[in-house]
Amino acid sequence: MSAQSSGQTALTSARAIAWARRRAALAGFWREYRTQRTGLVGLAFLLMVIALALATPWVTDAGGLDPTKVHGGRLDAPSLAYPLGTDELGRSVLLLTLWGARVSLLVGVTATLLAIVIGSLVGILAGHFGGWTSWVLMRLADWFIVVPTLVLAMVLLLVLGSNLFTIIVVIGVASWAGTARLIRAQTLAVEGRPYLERARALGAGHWHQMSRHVLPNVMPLVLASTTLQVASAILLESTLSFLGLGDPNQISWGTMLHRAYEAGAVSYGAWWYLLPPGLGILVVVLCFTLCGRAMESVVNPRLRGGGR
Amino acid sequence: MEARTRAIMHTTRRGWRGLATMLAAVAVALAPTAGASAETHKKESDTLVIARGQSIDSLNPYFARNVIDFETLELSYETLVRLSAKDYSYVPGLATKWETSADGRAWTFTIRKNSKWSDGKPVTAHDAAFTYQLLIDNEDIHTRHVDFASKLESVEATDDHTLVITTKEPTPLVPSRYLPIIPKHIWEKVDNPAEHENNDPPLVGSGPYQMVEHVTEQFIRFKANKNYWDGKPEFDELVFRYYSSPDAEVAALESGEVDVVGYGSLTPAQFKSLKGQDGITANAAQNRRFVSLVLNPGARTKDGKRFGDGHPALRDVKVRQALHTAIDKSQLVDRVLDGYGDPGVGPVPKIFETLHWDGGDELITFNLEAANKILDDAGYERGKDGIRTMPNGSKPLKFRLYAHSDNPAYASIAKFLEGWWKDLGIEVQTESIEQGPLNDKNYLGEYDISFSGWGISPDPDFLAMHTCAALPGVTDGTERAHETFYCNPDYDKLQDQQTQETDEAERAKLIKEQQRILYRDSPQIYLYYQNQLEAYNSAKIESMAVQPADGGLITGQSNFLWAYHSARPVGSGADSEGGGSGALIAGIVVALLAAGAVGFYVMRRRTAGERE
Repeated sequence: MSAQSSGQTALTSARAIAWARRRAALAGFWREYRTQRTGLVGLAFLLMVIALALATPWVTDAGGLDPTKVHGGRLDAPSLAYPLGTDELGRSVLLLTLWGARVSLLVGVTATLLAIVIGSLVGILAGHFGGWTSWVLMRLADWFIVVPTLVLAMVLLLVLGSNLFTIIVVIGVASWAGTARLIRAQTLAVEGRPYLERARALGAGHWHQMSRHVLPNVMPLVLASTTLQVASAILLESTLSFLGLGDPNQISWGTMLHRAYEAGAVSYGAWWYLLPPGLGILVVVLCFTLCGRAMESVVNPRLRGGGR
Repeated sequence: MEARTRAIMHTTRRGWRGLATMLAAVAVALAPTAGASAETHKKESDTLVIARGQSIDSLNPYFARNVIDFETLELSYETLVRLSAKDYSYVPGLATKWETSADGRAWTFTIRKNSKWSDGKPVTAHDAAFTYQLLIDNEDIHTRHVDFASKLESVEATDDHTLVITTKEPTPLVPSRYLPIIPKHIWEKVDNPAEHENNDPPLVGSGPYQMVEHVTEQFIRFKANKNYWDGKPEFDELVFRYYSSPDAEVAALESGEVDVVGYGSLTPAQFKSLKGQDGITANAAQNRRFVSLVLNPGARTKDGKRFGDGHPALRDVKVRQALHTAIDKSQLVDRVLDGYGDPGVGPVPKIFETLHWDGGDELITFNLEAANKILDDAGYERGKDGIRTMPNGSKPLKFRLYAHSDNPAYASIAKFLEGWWKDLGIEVQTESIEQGPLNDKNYLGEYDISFSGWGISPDPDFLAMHTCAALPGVTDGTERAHETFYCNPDYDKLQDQQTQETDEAERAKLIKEQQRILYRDSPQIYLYYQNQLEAYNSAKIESMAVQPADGGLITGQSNFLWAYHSARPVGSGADSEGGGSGALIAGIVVALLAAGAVGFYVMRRRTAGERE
């Protein structure tokens, strides 16, 4: 009885049907994802890092980042008071690493979202309209693919000046092109399916086709691509910051490495200043890559190799 | 304005040079002997190798701008008068003696008879006259050196060994001006000496070392002048070898590939790591540099036309004094420089004892309460958010602070300033900007506070930059003789007096008074004089002269490179091994990386021309 009534409510509206379908799809997705051990490990570590980054303002005192308020020595080796030693201004490297995670993750995720939004928009438009629209958009994408990302980002930052916002924009702008090509190919595949022909026959406009039919179908691919791209965005941010193009008012892992390098930590042998941000980048990038790969193989079963 | 052009590349030396910097650093660290084969013609023990981060730009003695250009000139040519290694006092160079006429306008130099050009011809007063005459005759050269050249009336070689320079009015600048004497028989064949790059070795000069070969971003090679009148240098060869990063230099010193490091100064951490090592002598020397903040006291032209968008509060001397009082300079020295420096007072660094003003009893001491009181009394009240506003309540005291993006010390200092000034109720927004655009903003008056660092020459012509005459005539930022739009008739009067005063003690008094006025009005706050941190291979070099004798420096000497002329090798032997195919491959890798770096570095250098 109860099973039937729930079935009845589920069948009462189109929206409810859609939600039920999505829930099922998600559950199916998770079932597949769960079988990928590396993906799970990556996800677990990633959640841990994100939790730490979110908790940092509550569990630590931001005052420790103001050099006029701290009393640590200069490049002190790790001790009880400073578990990861101090930087060249006497601040705790542990504290810097924790706060640095926030900026690195923020820039990585936001810049990727920007890149994905631009990439999806361009990809779907190009795939849907075809013809000269596609040609123009894809030549533009080609141009961005051909220009080396790092060089493009450096030049843009030099012109725009460096702060958190411009870094996010620059990374987003420099890395949307790959996504656009991917999405365009998937859009073409989706648009070839018969139900889109049916939708067109029923009078669906461009917007309806793109937003209701194409977008939901390319979404899984977008997600997998996003996750992978966060890793490269974080790397790009670290690279730019290490080259001295970071925002001097923000502490990210890249700026930490830059400062360590400029302060001569390499000659001094101050491994405690170099390792934490370096390992941080390594772990986070690895996690995102593991998660992304796992998602990709769920979305695209052909990728599932010897593991299964 | 030689003071600044000389100084320019000192700190940009460690500027960001892109990916290639650290790649090259890694490559060099992996391959200690890489790149050495190209310029090693002699036994290593006969060659003095010095790590440099610059390459030659122009060796035209009138237009040289990078430190390395000047040092190449100083090794290859000579000046009439040298600045002593002991205390920067005048000692004979090409001129054995000199005297002024009773009215102070005619200077008679006696040129020595025992000096020869490297092609064998004797150096005579005619060469010197030719060199000085170009300042009067050649329009481009005259314009470039107008502060000095406009004071010259005539130059004459009365015989082979007597040079008479007559000025329009008495001036102490004749012996102090750095001007390498060039060979007339070579240069009179040059069409336009102002456009002659003079970069093609071998140079014909009369100095202790002659430049015989140079390859951009690789090395510059010098041969000792065997006939040098002041004694042949003990090292037969001298090489400036190019390194793209200080860490690579340090690694090269440790491996014995390089003998002297420290141009542009090591970081305290690098210095400490070298200090305890056997066979390496580390030298923390006083330096000729200051690091300062320029506050925009209201950008204006000579005619008083206002422009730019500087914060109005900074036109108020009280606000500038409050900011000055809320800077703990000794803490900056301790924490940013690790103690390797001295708190700043005026623009003339402590190294120049006779001209340096120490603040006396007017010295401002760090005191947040006093600073707050100054602002309270002047009517800058705190708003609800704790930030002060203009006395009429219109605009909050939020200042933009511009720092050079290639200077890590500035980023650190900015963190301290933010902290202290927050307690004053002043908000600071630090922006990190490339040098070129930052200079543009400064000269357009579009800044509130920005960093500025200079190297000062023994004769502090930097002081002229704060005169009303240095203010721009136009508002487009192209006239760049001033430092921060400061103009004060009292100061100008002192400037006029001191550039005509030939009595040294009197002149020192005037220069100190100028510094006192600058200190009081605080258009520019001198934060510190940082030490030059340098090191050399004492297993190979027994001794080198420092300048000045008391706590002086090796890298960055003025007018004559006493250190390299006086360097004495320790015995002989200790040929370094290595080489082979490994080194060859590493050499190729390094060359490729260096080639990659060229693009960026060239771009960067172009903007590095004016100040830091």
